[in-house]
Amino acid sequence: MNSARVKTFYYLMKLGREFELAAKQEYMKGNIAGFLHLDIGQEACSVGSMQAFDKGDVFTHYREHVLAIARGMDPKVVMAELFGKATGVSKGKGGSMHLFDPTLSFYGGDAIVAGHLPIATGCAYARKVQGEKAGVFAIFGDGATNAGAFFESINIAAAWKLPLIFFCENNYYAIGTRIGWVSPFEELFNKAKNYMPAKRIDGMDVCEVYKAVTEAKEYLENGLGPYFIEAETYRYEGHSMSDNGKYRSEEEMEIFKSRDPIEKLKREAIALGIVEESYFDETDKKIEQEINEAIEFAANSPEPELNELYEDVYCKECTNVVS
Amino acid sequence: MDYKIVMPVLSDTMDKGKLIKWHVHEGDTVHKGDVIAEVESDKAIMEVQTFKDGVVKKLLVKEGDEVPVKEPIAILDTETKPQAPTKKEQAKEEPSKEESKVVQKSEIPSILQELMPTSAPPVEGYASPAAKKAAAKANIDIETLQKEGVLPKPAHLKDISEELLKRYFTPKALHLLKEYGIEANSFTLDHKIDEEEVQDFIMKNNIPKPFPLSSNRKAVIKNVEESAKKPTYLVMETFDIKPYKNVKLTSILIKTIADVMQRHPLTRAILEGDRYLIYPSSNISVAVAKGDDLFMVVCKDAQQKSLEAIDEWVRNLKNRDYSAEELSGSTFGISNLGMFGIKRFSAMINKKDSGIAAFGTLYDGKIDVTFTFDHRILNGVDAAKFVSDLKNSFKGNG
Ligand SMILES: Cc1ncc(C[n+]2csc(CCOP(=O)(O)OP(=O)(O)O)c2C)c(N)n1
Repeated sequence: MNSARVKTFYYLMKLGREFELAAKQEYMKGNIAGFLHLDIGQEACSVGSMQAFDKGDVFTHYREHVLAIARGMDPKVVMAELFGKATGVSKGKGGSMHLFDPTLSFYGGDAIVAGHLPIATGCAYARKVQGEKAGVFAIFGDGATNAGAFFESINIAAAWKLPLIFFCENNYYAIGTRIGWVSPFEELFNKAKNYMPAKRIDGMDVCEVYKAVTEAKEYLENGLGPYFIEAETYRYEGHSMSDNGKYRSEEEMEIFKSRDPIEKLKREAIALGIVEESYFDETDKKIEQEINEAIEFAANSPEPELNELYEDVYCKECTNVVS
Repeated sequence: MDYKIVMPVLSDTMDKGKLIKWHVHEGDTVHKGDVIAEVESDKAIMEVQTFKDGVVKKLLVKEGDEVPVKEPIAILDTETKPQAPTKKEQAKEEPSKEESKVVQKSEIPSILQELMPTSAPPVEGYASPAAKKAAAKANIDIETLQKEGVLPKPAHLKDISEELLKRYFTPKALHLLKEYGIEANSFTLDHKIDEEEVQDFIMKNNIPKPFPLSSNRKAVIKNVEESAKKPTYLVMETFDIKPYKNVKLTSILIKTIADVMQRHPLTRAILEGDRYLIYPSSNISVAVAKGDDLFMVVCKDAQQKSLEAIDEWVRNLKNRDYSAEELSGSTFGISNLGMFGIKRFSAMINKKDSGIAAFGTLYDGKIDVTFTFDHRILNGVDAAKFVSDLKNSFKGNG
């Protein structure tokens, strides 16, 4: 751990959390429509992985705000997208589940569970054919590892030695289905270990996530093929805004909250004397300000024009998308 | 400053919410993030948190009220300084000494190992924390029962309570409990309880058996409730009707009414917004009882059909299922209880129909008929002309 890195981790995780709390509030006020899936509790996975995997292509599912912000998207533009405004990253036409920015190689948001894994695999194949090293990062939930698309993807990625990191956020639940009810074991890296290097890490520890993804990235860059990481984590909120999450016990929640990634990093950094305590308060204040600005920006941005309905329907010219 | 807490939007399809429970009283101090209420959305019962600190000044709705989204449900005073710390705060303050200590990995996992199956899965006695608690209380040995295959792995709270019930109730008794929705703790759990004991309990306490509504019943309820809202009036008359030998009476009624409807456009009309839609065809809804269900099946284009064709349609009615198409599109209805010896009754208007004729039993070549008309469509005079035309038509039917 070095001071600058810890500060970045803290800033991004906290920014992500405050962003999501604000989004939740705005949803309840009716300013955000459609679905809203919050990442609260899982920030270490989003931030640690995006900090480590800084070059290649990123494919993700519907729980993606923090990932997008950690990738470098401006919270203002993300919030505007959630509000459905013209200034949003997808011109307000995609909303919470479709944060897509080719300039950041961020092809975010697939509503179909495991639907993005074959696409990520295809992209990894293209990168390999083109002789590029940076590779592809695909993040998904525990539920996705029961889908056929998942098995087909790990199979072909391994057979063809594609540069692809499979990053599984095991938060134990696919909406209300506990992983153990529908899978013969709960340690999901077992599903991939005959295909590629596969390991399980503490997904509530941002440093551990960072380290694991860095190792995986080096493995890809050496042309050795795909890599599987299972990060054990937890979401504090329901699956989406209309889910009360009551299928989980309070004890279980408390255990994970005691491992909260943001608090943990702060505690450890202070105890080890890596970062001075005042940094955290100042950062929190700065973030509060930043989030307020994001909401203001989103609220005051215009709605998309009506003729936008006919735009972006067919792909005219793709830049920086593998073709 | 006053801050209004509003009924939150909790799903994409929610337009109102029911306030199930208040967790605060007026005068309570609340902090950002505290749960203040439970609300039922169209999907689930959800907790509502406050986004601001303050003192609850006023609760604007009662438990059980349905409130449109974005309407205020409570007012917070965000300026008055809170008097005493909230319960939550007190709880939080205690362990503060330890907070700045670095928690070593090996420290937390002791509880973790027990509760979280993944950290070190205890293969035996594998159960949720709540299940373990309940089992300890009830003296249930999860590990042994799992070995015997009696309890599933992992065991959940519901498995433990089922196990507990099995100990104290015979299977038939359990079935009765479920059927009547009786809580197990209505009994003293110190002996095996059989069917008879539960049956006695039901009689003694006069417990009703819940009987779910069929979807047909729900549709009928909706239809008659709508019908009851209409401004209607009754016209009662006695008709001379000669039945044919081999034709059902209902078929004659349909055919004759269909022909007469052609001369009275308002009986072919429905009300839509600020206009009438007058249809060219005589489409007549006929009340059909099938088992416990009631349907209003529509005889379409009855003015064009021969009496024989209608009779065949009527005879077939009870032996088949009806398409949605066949249950809609009428403008006038008939109901007949004559076959039960009922002399006179009135019927409720089906869906958008302009009226309905209720036929009693045939006596001395006569039938008493009660018409119910929607006054928004037909005035008394329109009705009188229609009924009298009908009366004359029936006279000549022999
Ligand atoms: C193919 C498919 N089936 C079902 C759904 C509905 N659905 C949306 S999210 C979800 C749960 C996925 O859980 P998991 O993969 O564990 O991801 P998490 O939400 O926990 O991050 C389900 C079943 C869907 N979107 N796509």
